[in-house]
Amino acid sequence: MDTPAASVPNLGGFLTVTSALELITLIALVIIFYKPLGALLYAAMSGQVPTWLKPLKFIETALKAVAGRAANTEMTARQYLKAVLGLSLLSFLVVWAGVYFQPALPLFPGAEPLRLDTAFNLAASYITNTNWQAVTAERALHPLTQTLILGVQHFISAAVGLCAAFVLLRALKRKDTKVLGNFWQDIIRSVLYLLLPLYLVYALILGFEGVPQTLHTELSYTMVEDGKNVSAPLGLVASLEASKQLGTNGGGFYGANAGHPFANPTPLTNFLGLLAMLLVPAGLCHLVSLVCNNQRQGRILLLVKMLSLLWCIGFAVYSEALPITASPIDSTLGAYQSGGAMEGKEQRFGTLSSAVWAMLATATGTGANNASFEALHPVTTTFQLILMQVGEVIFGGSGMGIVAVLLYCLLTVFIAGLMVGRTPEFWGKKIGVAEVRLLSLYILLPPFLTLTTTAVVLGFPVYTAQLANMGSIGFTELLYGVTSVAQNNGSALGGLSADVPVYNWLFGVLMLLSRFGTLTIVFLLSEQLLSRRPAPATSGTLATDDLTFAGLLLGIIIVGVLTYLPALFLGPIAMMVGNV
Amino acid sequence: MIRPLFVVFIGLTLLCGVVYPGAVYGLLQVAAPSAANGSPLVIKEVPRGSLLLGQSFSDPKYFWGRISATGYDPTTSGSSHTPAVKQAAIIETRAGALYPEATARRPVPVDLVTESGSGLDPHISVNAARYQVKRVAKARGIPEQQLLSLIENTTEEPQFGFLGQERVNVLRLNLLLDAEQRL
Repeated sequence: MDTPAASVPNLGGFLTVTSALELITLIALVIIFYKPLGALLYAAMSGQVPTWLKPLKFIETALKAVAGRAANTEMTARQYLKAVLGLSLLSFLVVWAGVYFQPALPLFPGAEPLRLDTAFNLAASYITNTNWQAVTAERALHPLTQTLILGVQHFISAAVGLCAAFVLLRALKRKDTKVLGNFWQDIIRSVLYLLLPLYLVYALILGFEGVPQTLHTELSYTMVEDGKNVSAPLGLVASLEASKQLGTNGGGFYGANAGHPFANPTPLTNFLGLLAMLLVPAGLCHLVSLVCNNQRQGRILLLVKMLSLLWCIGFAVYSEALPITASPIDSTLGAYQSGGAMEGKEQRFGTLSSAVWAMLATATGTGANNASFEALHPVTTTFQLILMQVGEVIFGGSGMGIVAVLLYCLLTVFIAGLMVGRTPEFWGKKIGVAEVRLLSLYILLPPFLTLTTTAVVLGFPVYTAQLANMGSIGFTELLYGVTSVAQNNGSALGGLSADVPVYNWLFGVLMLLSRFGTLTIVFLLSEQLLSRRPAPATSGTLATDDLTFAGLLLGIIIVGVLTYLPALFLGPIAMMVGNV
Repeated sequence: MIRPLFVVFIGLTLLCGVVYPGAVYGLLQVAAPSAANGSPLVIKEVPRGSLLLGQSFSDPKYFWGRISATGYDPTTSGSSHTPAVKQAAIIETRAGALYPEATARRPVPVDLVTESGSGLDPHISVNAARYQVKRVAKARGIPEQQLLSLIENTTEEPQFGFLGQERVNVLRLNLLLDAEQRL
């Protein structure tokens, strides 16, 4: 029987009307929600809670009462940093021990033992908001381990990022003081007034769409055709999937992550997954507006982020919709089939949603996947790498995304100041030698970690033996893995089998160095900025809230990516041109 | 610093690791008990799976689904991660093995010869279902028109008209087919 060809209008060969609508709705919702989200973030930062969240206030009061005076007095940047490192260290030890000893704990019957290095890697990964998973989660981890030990880090690591953003914003805004807020208060408020309500609403929607939330550990059944008895792992999936997406974490319940039908059963859950990755990073732009009392400042930041992202999405969507040149295969795009490069993708999402997801997962710090990233087109892989390598500037992780773009703003102001010969200032704070020194460190740390590690590792067969492919494909697998951990993203190309001691230790250390290295720099920079007395704006001050500034900022961001260009040529770009 | 450190860590662990998943659990078990337990599909008191999870079909009398790296074994999920530049050859091999009757005039829809991301994809495209009508009709000895209308009745529309695409749940289609022929 011959089927009729596509009857749905096809926009330019790769975009159908429905898929274009999906994309437009996504962008519209981000623009609608970024202000309410920013207001909620401001509530968490300031403690001025909206009425509907007031009932939660007693938890804050109780926790602070038990925690004592230390939870009520404001801290200097160094004290704040010490508290952040303290909580992270405790989290790290608890996760490492919890995952390693899961078979021995009475709560987790039947859990498998994990190696010490695997447990180390998971601990480093979850506390740094990376969520790199060296193991297939549903097989290696007990369902309760995922909720009770790892799920908690979906809150704490996301909230730590938010606290870093609060500190930097206060440092830019405050004057004549040495204190920048109280960490314990900030983290309790971030969890209570922002993360908890958001996660809860999202988890319930996921549940109604079919994501399980049960204490049964498996669903056993007899297959229809061959009568084989099999069982699918179950657990508290909805709550974990919600916190994974919204907190830009990425570590899901299943190995196939958001590709698994239990984790992401419908096009609606997939669409919300896309929206969830963008919500907090976009909301942070409005938080900037609220802190500096200038609506245009946040709008300009969102504009820069959105434009850079849309540019990448365009390339990815186009590349994934390209028909496969194999015969006799029909891979044209139409109403009755998704067409395009369907290898490694799920039918209910099609190529568009998978391509957009791949971009958002790498632009934000989420790193979740709803398709096999290894099977994506080399052009898409190139943009995934670029989005990670710009270092969370384009949306970025929970909190760290806005930190990154603000630091790029400081750098832009400095470079623009040099060009026109004026004192560089941002919100009246002078950008001097000390600031620029720290900014350079911040910008150079991740590329230094990524490129030197990739180069060194290539010389050791014990590392290269874990790559599934040779040549440029294998190099891409390695570069992608190292970039992902050194930028605290967490996504991976499946060709790298990383659950071996050499990779687990190396990648664990990289994640910790990158996360806590950048955090330390951010706090030192905040201390430095706080000591500057704001100067009143004059006619010679460079405006940081107009399109000229947006253009300058974009230019600086693009220059930042050039650091990685040679590596990209050896990897996905070589793959594209020569299949070598 | 030690006291607030432990108070905050333990407090947040209880809140985020127990209260939050517990609240979601309680609400969903009451409001959507079937979905909360994996949407189990029970036929004549035998659990036959879940409509959310695909199953393997290879008998000519059934409609076939996506290629699965795990053979639709739900114990583990994932795909075999074939890099883009190596896909064309593998796809042609699969087409030759599974759909040898395909010609340039009647090509196989791409989703039938490509692996899904999870290995458990329950859906195929409408074209992919229609493509198999000839084979299924012959194996079952029923008219093609009956199968075409069955496909039309089981086709899932894009959610809200614009999310996702028209698709067919292979397991549901096959179960309906079995039920219809028994009558």
